[in-house]
Order: sequence, then C-alpha cells, then structure tokens
Amino acid sequence: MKKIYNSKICFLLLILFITSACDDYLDVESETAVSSESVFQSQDGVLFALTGVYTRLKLKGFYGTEFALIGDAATDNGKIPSDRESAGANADRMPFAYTLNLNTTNTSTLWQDAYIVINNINNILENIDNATDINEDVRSQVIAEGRILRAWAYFSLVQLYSQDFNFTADQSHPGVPIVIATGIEDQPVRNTVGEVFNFIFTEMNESISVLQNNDAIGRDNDIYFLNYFSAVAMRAKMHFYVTNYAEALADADIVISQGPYSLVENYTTSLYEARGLGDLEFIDAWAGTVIVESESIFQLYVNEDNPEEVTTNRSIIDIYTSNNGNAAHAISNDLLSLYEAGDVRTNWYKIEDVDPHVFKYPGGFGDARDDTPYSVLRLTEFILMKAECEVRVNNADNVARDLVNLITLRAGASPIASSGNALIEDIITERRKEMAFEGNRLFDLKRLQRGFTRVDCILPENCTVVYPSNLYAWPIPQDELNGNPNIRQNDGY
Amino acid sequence: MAKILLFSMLVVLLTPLVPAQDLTVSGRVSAQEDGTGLPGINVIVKGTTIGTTTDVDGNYRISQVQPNAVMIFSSIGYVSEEVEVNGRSVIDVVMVRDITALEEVVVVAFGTSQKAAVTGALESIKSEDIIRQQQANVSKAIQGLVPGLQVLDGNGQPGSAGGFLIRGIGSLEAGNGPLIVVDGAVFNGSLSQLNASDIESINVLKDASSAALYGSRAGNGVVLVTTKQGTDRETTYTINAQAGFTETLNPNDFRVMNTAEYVEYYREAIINSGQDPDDTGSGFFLPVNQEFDTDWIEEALQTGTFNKYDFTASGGNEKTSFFSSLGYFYQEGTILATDFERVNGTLNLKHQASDKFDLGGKIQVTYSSADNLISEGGRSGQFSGAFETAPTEPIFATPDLIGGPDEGAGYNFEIPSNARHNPVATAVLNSNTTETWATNNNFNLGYNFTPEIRGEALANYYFFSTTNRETIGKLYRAETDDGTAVEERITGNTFNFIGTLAYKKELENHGFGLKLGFENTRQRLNSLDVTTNNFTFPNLNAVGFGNNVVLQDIGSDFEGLSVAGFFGRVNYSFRDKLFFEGSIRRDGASNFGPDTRWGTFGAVGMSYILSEEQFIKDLSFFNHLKLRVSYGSSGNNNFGQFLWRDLYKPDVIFTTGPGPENANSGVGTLDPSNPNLRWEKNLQFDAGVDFTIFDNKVSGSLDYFRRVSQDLLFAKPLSLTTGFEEVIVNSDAEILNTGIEVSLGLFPVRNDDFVWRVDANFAFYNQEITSIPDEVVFTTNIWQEGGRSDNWYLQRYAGVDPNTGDALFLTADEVSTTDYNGDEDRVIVGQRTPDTYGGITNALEYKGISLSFMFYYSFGSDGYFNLAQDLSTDGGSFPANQWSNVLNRWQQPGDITDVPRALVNNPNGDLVSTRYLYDESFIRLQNVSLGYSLPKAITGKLGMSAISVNVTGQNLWISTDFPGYDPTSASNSNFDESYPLARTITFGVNLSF
Repeated sequence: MKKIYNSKICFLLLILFITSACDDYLDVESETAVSSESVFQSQDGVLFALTGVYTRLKLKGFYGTEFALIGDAATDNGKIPSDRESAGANADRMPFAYTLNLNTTNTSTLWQDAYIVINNINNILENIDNATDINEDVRSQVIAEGRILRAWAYFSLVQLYSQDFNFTADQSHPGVPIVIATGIEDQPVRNTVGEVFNFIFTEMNESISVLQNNDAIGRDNDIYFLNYFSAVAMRAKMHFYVTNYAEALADADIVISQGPYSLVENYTTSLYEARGLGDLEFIDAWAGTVIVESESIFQLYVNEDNPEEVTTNRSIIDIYTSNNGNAAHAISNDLLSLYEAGDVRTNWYKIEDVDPHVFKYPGGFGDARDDTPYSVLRLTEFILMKAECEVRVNNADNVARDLVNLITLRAGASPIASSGNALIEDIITERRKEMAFEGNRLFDLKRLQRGFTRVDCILPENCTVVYPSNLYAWPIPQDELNGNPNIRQNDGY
Repeated sequence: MAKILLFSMLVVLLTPLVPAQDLTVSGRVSAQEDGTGLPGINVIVKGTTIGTTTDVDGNYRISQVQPNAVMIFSSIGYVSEEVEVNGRSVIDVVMVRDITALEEVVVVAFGTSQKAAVTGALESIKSEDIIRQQQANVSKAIQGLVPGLQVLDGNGQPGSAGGFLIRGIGSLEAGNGPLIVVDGAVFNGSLSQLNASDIESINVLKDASSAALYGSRAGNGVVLVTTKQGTDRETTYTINAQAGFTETLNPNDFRVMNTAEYVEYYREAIINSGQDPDDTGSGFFLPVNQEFDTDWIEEALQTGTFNKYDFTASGGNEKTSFFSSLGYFYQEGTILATDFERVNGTLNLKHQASDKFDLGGKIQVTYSSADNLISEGGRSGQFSGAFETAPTEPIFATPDLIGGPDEGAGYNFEIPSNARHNPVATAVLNSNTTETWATNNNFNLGYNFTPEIRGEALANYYFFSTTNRETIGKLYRAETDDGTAVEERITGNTFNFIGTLAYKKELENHGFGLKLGFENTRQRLNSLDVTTNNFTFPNLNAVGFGNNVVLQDIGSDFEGLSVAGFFGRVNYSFRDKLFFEGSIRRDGASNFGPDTRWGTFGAVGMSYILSEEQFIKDLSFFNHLKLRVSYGSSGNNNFGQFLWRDLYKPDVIFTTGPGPENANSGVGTLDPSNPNLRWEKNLQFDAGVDFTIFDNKVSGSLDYFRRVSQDLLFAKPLSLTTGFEEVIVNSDAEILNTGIEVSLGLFPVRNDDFVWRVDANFAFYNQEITSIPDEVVFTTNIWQEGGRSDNWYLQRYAGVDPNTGDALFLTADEVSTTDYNGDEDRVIVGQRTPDTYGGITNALEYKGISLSFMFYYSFGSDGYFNLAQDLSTDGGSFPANQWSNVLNRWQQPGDITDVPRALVNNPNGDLVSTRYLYDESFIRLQNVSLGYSLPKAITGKLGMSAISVNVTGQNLWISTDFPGYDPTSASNSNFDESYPLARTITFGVNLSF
C-alpha cells in the first residue's frame, strides 16, 4: 500500500511540474510590439510616446488629409474637377466635402483621429511618473507640450463639429466631450462650447508659461515640434476664432515681434521638373520638402512611407501636389478670379485636363516627390491676423494697411488702400487669397457668421449655404453613436 | 475471469501439439469486378497463426496447412471469404468488394480505430479519389467528396488553396477554419506543399466526439491527412505521368464592349450630358472613327499547360518498410504570366526493432515557385486591369503617342481609361513571385510495455521559408518611381510533441480501451520586408539595386503561439455491437491572459450495431445497421495572438523630411487590451445512422447535427473619445448551426464483367444567430438576433423608370424611388453560404476500362458581382470600358429595361444595391476520368505489374445563372476580381513494376 501511495505522490508532483512549466511555456512575448509598462519606465520611452503623438497629427482625419482639406473644400474655394476624377469615381477623395451631402457615415474621421491624439496624450500624462529616471525639466516640458497638443486637438474638434463660438450668447451650444483620463468603458456627454474653450485656454495659459523658460528636451525652435512661440501662435489663433480680437492681437504681437520668424520677402519663381507633367513654374518658397522656411511656425511633413495606420494612401499627397500627376482637387473660379493678372500666387494652380488643380504643396522633386510638407502655422497668417485686429480693436487703419500690403507686395498684387469696414473686408479677401488651401476658409466664414454662394458650382454640390447652417457643425460619426449612447448628434443629421 | 484466461492460454499452448499432415496450398486471389490479381490480401489458416499475404499479382503460397483446415482470405474493403481446403493444393479465390467495410480501420484522433467502433461523424477520402482530381492543391481535390466539408473555391491561381468550412460558420470575429493534422501532427503550412500522390487518406472529423481529443482547437472540426507507408512486400515502383492543358471557364460569355459598342455607348452618354464628343477641348473627346479594337481580356488570358510526374518506390520486410517518392508539378495559369511549379520528395520509414519496440519517421521536403497575379484588384493587375481599359487603345505605342515606341519597352502607356496602366505591359514588365522551401519531419517511437499497454511518442518539426518578390519594372511607365521592388522573407516553424499511453483489454464480451496523452505545440513566424525604388538598369530589379531606400521601407513582423494540453479517452465495447467512448482534454494557449488561458473540453459518444441483433437479422433486409449518437464541447482560439496584452506600437515614426536623418522614433497606442479573453466554445450534438441494404448493393449514412457556438468573440463598439473604436470581448453572442448530411453508395449493376457504382453526398444547412449583444450593421451585412451571420443587407434595385431612364430603388417599405439612400432602406436579401451542396460520382468499370464522372453542386447562396458594379457605372466612369450588358440601356421614353440611361458623371456606379446581387447556385461537372488498364497477360510480358492510361477533365462544364466567369468568385466580401476557375484536360500514363 505504501508503495502505491508513494507513486501517487510522484505522479502528482510530476503533473504539478509539467503544469507549472507549461505556464512559462505559454508566455509568448510579441516581438513587434512593446508593453505599455516598458514604454513608460524610462525618460526615453516617455519621449518616444510624445513623438508618437506628433506623428498622429498626420492621421488621415487630421492633417493627413481631411482636416487639411475640409476648410477649403467645404466652401466657395473648392471644386470637384469636372473631368473623369469625379465624385463618383473617387469616393476616397472626400467628394462629400464638396457636395456637402453630409450624414453620419459621410463625415470626417477627425473625430476619431483627434481623440486618438488625445488618448495618447492622456496615457503619457497618467504614466509619466512611472519613469523613474526622468529629469524634472523634461517632465514639465513633456507635460506642457502634451497639454498644448491636446488643447489644439480640442480646438480642431470644436471648429468642425460645433457651431461658431458666438452661435449662442452664453456659449451653451454643444461642444465636444472633454476627456482627460483613459478608460475604454467611458461614454462621456458633450460639454458646451463655453466649457471646451475654458478648458482650452486654461491648458494653454498654464502650459505656455512652462515653455517660456524651459527647453530641456532641446526643441531649439524646430518648426516640427512645439515651442513657446508656436504655442503662443496657437493661442492667438484660438482667440481669433472666438472673436476675442484684443487677446489675439496681443499674442500675434508676441509671435511677430519676439519670434524668430521673418516674412518671405519675395515670391520668386523657377521651373521645376514635375513628374508626368514636364517643367512647371513654382514659387521657390513653396517648392521643396520644407516650405516657407523663414516664416514657418509649425509645419508637418506628410510622407507616404508612414506606417499604414498613420496616413492613408490617399493622403494630402494626392490632394495638393503635382508630382504624381494625381492632383484630384480643383480651385473654384470664384477664388481664382480674385487674383489679379500677374499675381505670382496663381502659380499655386495648374491646369490639368480641364480644370485648374491645386498644386500648392508640390513637395520635394526627385527622391522624395511623393512627400508633402503642410503648413499648419506661418508668420503670414499672424500678419494678416494682426492687421484685421488692429482695425477692429484699435481702428489703426494705417498699421493694418502697412501689414497687409507686405503680403500683396511680394505677390505682385496691387496694394490695398481702403479703410474702416472696407479695409476689414479687403483683409479678409487677402486672407482668403494668401491662405487658400491651408484649411481656414470654412472657419473664417463661421467666425464671421457668413454663408457663401458658389458660382462655379457643379450639381449635385450644395451651391449656397446661408448662415446659420447645419452644414457648419459637421455630423458626429456613426461609430461614436454606436459606442456611446450618451452623445448628442448635431442638429440636422 | 481467471478461468477464461487459463482456458485461452491452454488453447494457444495446445494448438501446435495436434498432429498434422501438412499441405502446401497456392493460388491466385482476384477481384470480382475485373479479374485482376489482388495484392496484399491476408491469407490465414483458421484457428492458427499460419498466414501470408498475396503478392503484387494476387498469388500466394502457404505451407503447413492441414487438409481439413479452413482458410480465411481477408482485406480491408473486401468481404472476407472462408474456404475449406478439402485436401486441395490449388485454391483460387474471387473476392467481392465490401462497401460496408466493417473491418475497415480508420484514422481517428491520435490513432486508428475500427470503423465499426466509431461513435462520431467522420468521413474518409481515399487516395484514388484524390489523385483523380487534377489539382495542384489537395484542398481543392476533395471538394464534393465529403458531406459536411465545404471547400471554398478560393481562386483559380494554380497552387492556391481552397478554404475549408466544416458544418457551417460558427464564429463572428474569430477564424472558421478547421484544424489540419498531417500524419498525427498539427500542420500550419499550406496543403499545396503536399503531393496528392503521396496521400493515403484524408479523414474529416466533424462532430464533438471524434474531434474531442483535439478539444481546444477542434471547434471548427479537424481534417486528418495521412501519407502513404511502405508494406512488408517486395519493392514496387510506380511511375505516373500526366500532361495536358488548362483554360478559362466562361459559362455565360461574360465580356466587355468592343470599340464599335464602346464608341456608340459613350457618345450617347456624352451627348446626353450636354457635352460634345467631337470637341477636342471638352474633356469628353470621343470621335466616331477609331483606329484600334483591342480585346484586352483576350490579351490577358492564355491556354496554360499542365504537367505532373511522380515516381514512387515502396516495399520492405517484416522488420523495416519504406515509402519514398519524388514528384514534379508544373502548371501554367490561364492568365498571362502566372504559373506554379513544385518539387516534392518524401521518405517514410517504419522499423520494428523488437517485439516491444518500434520506431518510424518521415522526411518530406517541398520546393515551390509561383508567379502570381501582379495585383488582384484595381487597374494595375494584368487581369483586373483588362476590364476597364478602353478597346480603342492599342497595346503598343504608336510614334505620335507621348513617349512613343522608344520608351516603356514599346508599350502604350497613354491609356486614360485605366490611369495609364497597360494590362499586357503589366504582365510582361512586372512580376510577383513566391518561392517556398518547406520541410515537414516526424519521428515517432512506440513501446509495448505489455500486450495491453502501449506508449507512443511523436515529435514533429515543420519549417518553411518563403520569399515574395514583387517588382514594378523601370520601363513600366504607368508608375513614376523608376521601378519598385518589394522583397518579403518569411520564415516560420512549428514544433509539435505528442506523448500517449494506451491500455487495451479484450474479454469475451467486453472490450476496454484507455488513452492518456500530453501535447504541446509551439509556432513561430518572423518576417522581414524591404521596399526600394528608383532603379538604374531595367533588368536589375532586385531590392539591393534600388537607389532610394528609407527607414520606413524596412518592416518586420512576428507571430507566436504556444499551446499545451492533456487529454484522455476511454472506450468500452460490449459484444462488438455496443460501443461507448468518452474523452476529455484540458488546454492552455498563449493568446489568453494567465487567468483565463486554460479551457476544458470533452465529449461522449455511443454507437450500437443493430444488425448484430437477431430481430434485425430476421428482417434479412439490412446487411449492416448502426446507430450513433454523440455530444460534446470543443474550443476555438483561432484569432489574434496578443489581444489580451496592453501593447504599444513601436514604429510610429515622426518624419520631418526625406531621408533617415529626418526620422524620429515614436511609439503609440495599439489596440485596447482585454486580459479576460477566453476560449470560444462549441457544443455539438450528433446523431447518425449507417446502413447497408439489399445484399450489400446499397449503403449509406445519415447524420443530423446541432452545433451551438458560445462565448463568441465580439467587437464591442467603444466611444471613439476613448481613442479606440472597439474592443474584442467574449460576448453572450451565440450561433446555432443545424444540418443534415447524407451519403449514399449503390451498385446499380454489379456482375463479373461490369460494375457501376454511384456515390452521392448531400448536405443541408441552416445557421442562425440566436443571441447577440448589439445589432451590428456593416456596409452589406447585418448581424441581428434571429438572422444569419452571412446575409446580404442591401437596398433593392427596382429597375429603370421607363419615362426618364433613371435608376429606381425600393425603400424599406416597398416604395419605388430614384432617391438612393443605401442606409435605412437596406433589407436582408440573401445569404453568402449555400443551403445545400454536395457531389455525385458515377464510376463504371468494364473489363479494363473505367469511367468516372463527378458532379458538384451548390444551391442557395447569393454573390455580389463586384466586377459588374465596376463595369456598370452607366457612363459615370468614362472613359473606362463597360460590361456589354450595359448596352441594354434606356434610350428613349417607353424603353423597358433594367439598365439606366447613359450619362457621364453618373453617380450610379457608387450605388451598392441588389442590381449586382446574383444567385450563384451552380452545378458543375467537376471531374471526368476515363481509364484503361492493360490485361495482366500483356503487362506481364512487358515485365510490368500494371499499365494504365487515362484521360481526365476537370471543370468541363458548369451551369449557373451567375453572369461572371465563376459563380464562386463573387461569394464573399472580397471586392476584388478573383482569378477564375480553370478547365483542365490531361492525359496520363501509370506504370507499376
């Protein structure tokens, strides 16, 4: 009996041994992904995570395509080419941004992509203290950059998915949910536009003061990363679009007078060999892999080689470049006719097939011809912003005229001589011409509470939009409604 | 019990003591159907251990036979004959095929079993039925041969695999493919690596009882492939050669417009839209007079060749036996510049070292090389790009075209209708090849501790290395990168170890069996890919010669999975007529978190051979009648390997300019993790009956099953504000599959000269989502309670308004409107998998001539004909060519047609509706084989044991309402134009000596 008893024990021990060995055997680590614990255990990992946030500004819904495109496509600036590259044949080129035939499935993925940026930042902010070796100054700079990028993502979201700031007197109309913590089960409600902007300005103010005296990471005013001046420029733009012109003026002044930027003095041109189209004349400052370098405050380099999830094959590359003969977006005659004969800026548009297509970002010629730089913020915008604010806040027509004529002069256009309200209108028009296809027109129209009429309009596009319009607050995607019963859809969808 | 044992021992001991006057008996054993000698028939003197087997010609010689003895002639597949010797020294025997094959041994999970003892639903396919089908991939060769195994056609690319579906779709988010086991070991390679001539049998385990020992991964069924082994006879050699040709099947003459039709149609569209086709500046210039009329599809197709050569040698003695083979296969595809080549070598060895100890092994090596389609969809493929290319375009550049004949190797690249892509140049100047080396090796040991206890161990190592090379030639002018090369290298290996201990005890009326085992599997895969472009020389297109390389063009991937499990099985039989079986298995897998990775599955089964009972015997109607019943559970972990982990993606690189110096490493969130993920579970009930009636002339089986799939993975939608779209969870979603499977075999004629045998199988299925957490709506599919998971959910097309020529659609409440909605107005209009499918084989043999033909049918599924949508844009995709059917367009008020009027910029092309949904039911003459075996008298003189010749046709005829090339090409959600099935006709010679 005793022998049997012993062998039973042996057998049990053997089973235990095999079972415990099995558990190790069943631990398989991925070799192409890294656990989040390892990411946040060091300063390097934290910085990699922050760089990942910058990369995701290039997601398709954000500056990869859609948010860069909609500001012009959805207004009287844009037009679907009338040739074969029609709405029907190119569903991936956002025909609905032109036709404004919007619904919950035909809408921008900015909603999703901006919240991916926000979630990545929230992850960093929650886990940054796990990095035991992190330098205190690096830590505060990472937090500041993260909070500013997050505020910028919220600003972009309300621009597209909410009515303008003054739509209700107390800003009680729906904004977007403010999410500052991670958690996949959360189903937040929409905050009001007022709450969102309160959050945005608090975040900006606190973070800008950190960046003012701290560059422990060593950004060194690199135009591809945030720094004190680009953060102030962002805040200027935020103030401008909530029509707080005095604050916008103050911030624009800082950017213009203290920032390391200088205006491109002359828009000179040269011939460049554009693949498939022969030699074409382009403005030198806009050709190449870095654009308007001396005045650039923040730009992105949108490249085809990014990992699939980051940009798509129909990125901005295919929208505003010439180099693969694929530019699929045209400029409306409404805008084109505003340029005087001899205005150098008409070199941004090239006839292909029938219509003038937008070639504002031709990118590098040669090796990197499929890559496109995209300007998010540049000095010119703040010159024009300051000009408009000087008239509105200080009635300083002279100052404003001098500023705006810096822009007309280098383009070879006639100087502006008007004053008062006419001057404001001329500055707005100059802004439309100079900042065309940089994603601002729709938000300027909303800021000014104006509708628009497309004269150069092909059915079935919506040719006239009258303010206030449901088309000024885009529909929230169906996927959000599927996953979050608490979300309120915008009116009209 | 002790008495019985003593008695048996006495019998065994006393037998040799009985005095004997020995005879030597010889003779020939031949087959009833054709009189040929039957090799390998067991000849035993009844009540003794004296025995032998017949040689290759069916002759035997046996000594020490007592004059009054009885000799037993037996073999798998034949009715055993008992013959009294009566002092004769020459005894010839004619054997009759036994379609009940009661003594047949079948391969089951971790071993073999008498077919009679099987309690579950399993089906066997024999070597000759597989070889008869001239297919490069074994998976396609078994289509229609088994009720309950649906072989999805896949595509017609030579060597490509057909997918398997056993007893319907039982999952929403996880895989539906069965577990594949080759010679006892889990196989992760492609079945195209196996040579059909090396296969002894394929067994399909469908129900829980037969599959339960593979418990964890058997939720979708198991396919067991067994390769040939040597026998203990003198060495035999066979040579098989098969050659022929292959061409595209186009049952309903699908075509696009020729130049005359094209010009007529589009000029009408242009004029309808208020444009002038004769105005060179309008963007719609299309003059009446055209120089060219190119049939691009005809140019993209070819008649391919088919070549298959095998050499095998097998033999051995009582201690050692071997089977070895060398095979060569080459098939040219039916599409330009596609082919498949394969070389196989196999050596199977078995060695009986002693009474107690035996060992064996297998070495199998494969090399294959395939030229695939350049692109399977869109404009840049040689086939997919041929449809839209305008017939008015020439293949070769004329001097006045930009570029001219000097550039781009002389091809025309000024093709606006196809974004400059030239399908012929695509095939000639670009390439897409896959080369694979693979080796699959087994080593196994067996040890008989006692006559009742046997231990076995099997170690398997599978390794493969695949290189994919895709190049776009420097001279291919539709691309602007001066040539692109992509090279991807994948290496992977699987290690599988199985150890078992079996106990068997036979008593007079009772049989017991017990098997305990341990198994582990470790799978790894690594890949590296590099993309470069800008080449200096047109002919040097390897990745190393590209002048432009950036960091992001180098990628790597990894897959890893480990599974370990313990299992046990108990068998009990009573008087060889009542059988019970129970099994249990506990498995852990690395794709679950530590708390949820172990799952336990089990099954019970019972079978009862009623024909052994007197009251059935009295009916003298049933030769054999057996009832089976089984119930059990099995699992499914056929999904993502790291879904439970909280992971970051490492290569979120932030580029700030061209070149590696501007690449900044970044990381970003990947998918939301679910540490609670666990096994999907299938509960299956099966009841079946096997029977043979009318003097062994009719046999068959009937099975009913009910399969409930639970704990199904479900993509739960999240608020996008979390940064994620969805998370994979085990939900309370549940799918019910039920079905009936029938197989029948009968002999309408069976006499000495002529045998006609018919085998048929039918399967009828139904599937239902019985529970789902939320309704999920896809573009063309909806998951909701009470519905199927594979439905079509589309807005209905209602033809054309006779007054205006506009397309009409039905709203959900049956109102006809021109206002396409495509969202709320969608309704369920069909399903993607068939209600019933099956095969019918007729085999006729007359003297040395054999003829067999097999039909395969599939009814009840619908296919979305995506190509038709691409090619029916009603003018909207000018100048792309269109389906000839569009010529039936509306032209003037009063026209009754279902094709709307032609307009350029017509938005119809984007409107997904039932306009392109077709019934894809079909019946196909899948195989016809005519053979002739030379009489032994002639082969003997030539020194051969057998010579036969054959003519075989594959997919000779098909009948379907589906208008495209191939009804199976549209069946799923794959929106690309797939490679159509081919018709293949071959001639073959088989020699053995």
